[in-house]
Amino acid sequence: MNRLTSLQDIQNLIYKVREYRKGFITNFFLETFKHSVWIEKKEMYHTQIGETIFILRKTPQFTSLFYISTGADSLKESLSGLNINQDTDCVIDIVGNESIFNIKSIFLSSGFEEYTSLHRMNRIGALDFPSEFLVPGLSEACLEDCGQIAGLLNTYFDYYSEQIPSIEELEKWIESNQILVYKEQDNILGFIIYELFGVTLYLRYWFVDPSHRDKKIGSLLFNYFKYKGRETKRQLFWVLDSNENAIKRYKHYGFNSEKMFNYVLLKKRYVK
Amino acid sequence: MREKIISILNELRPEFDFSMSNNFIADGMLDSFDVINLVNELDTTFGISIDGMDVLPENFSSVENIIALLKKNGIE
Repeated sequence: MNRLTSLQDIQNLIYKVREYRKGFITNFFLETFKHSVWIEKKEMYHTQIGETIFILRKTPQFTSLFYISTGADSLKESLSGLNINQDTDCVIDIVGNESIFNIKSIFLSSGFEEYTSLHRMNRIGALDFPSEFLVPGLSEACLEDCGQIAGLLNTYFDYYSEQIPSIEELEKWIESNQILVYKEQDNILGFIIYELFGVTLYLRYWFVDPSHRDKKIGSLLFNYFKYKGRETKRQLFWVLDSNENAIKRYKHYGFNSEKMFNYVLLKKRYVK
Repeated sequence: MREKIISILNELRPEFDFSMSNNFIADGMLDSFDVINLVNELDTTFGISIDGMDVLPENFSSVENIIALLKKNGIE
């Protein structure tokens, strides 16, 4: 297992697999900033088995597994030779359209279990926002809020399936005004984290403290979010399939389910 | 070639008018997931295998850049 030391290393791995000229499948979608942080923290490793390159992100909580391969058959063959030192749980996100169902089966037959699943929802068109969207308590987050937001994410979100961001990512989003908070006496009772790329708006996290969910804080945040994304033409986010209440709420806001899936599979750590 | 590329882009992201953008990545019309799908579609449609070193978002940011990439792979 070799440590990745730069984004160029990742590009070289992609190059290696494509050099076989037999096909290309992956669950690794490069995000420059996020992956640079992982590399800087010395969390990323890789190994090649046959025509597949496995990338691992090792954190104290768990290991995330990624693959870059020439196809399903070679992935299956390579996976049988992969020996992960399993001192933590190992998680893999298999992301894509219907074509990923066979990839999921390959991992299920290799000792992984289905942990949960998500699908993507989208909305096409401009966002309408109420004229009185900015009410007392609502604001963009500031750097001093970072610790509190991180604490809420770590407490209320599932680290296997919800890809909890690093402090560095939170700071970057705060600096680019992409975190909205609702506060009472300096306590954050809710937040929305989003990313804006041209005409596309990604809703990353939408949270309201469970003990304050009768105050319509979620709607206030969402109206502010709609104002922020008022010039976008497509809005996207991932939702847990099991979160039926949220899916209903999103549909109420005009979102539709896409045929884009994310299966989160888990291999429990080896207990001696 | 141009028509084929536009047709692939429209199939990938039917909600966007790609003729209105000079930078599909910066304008948020394609993300890293779309780029991987686009590479596979271009490989299949044109019977090529785009060099791994060229699988960079900037090479897929406009129809002109995609044409340049295909030409580099011997497609006229």
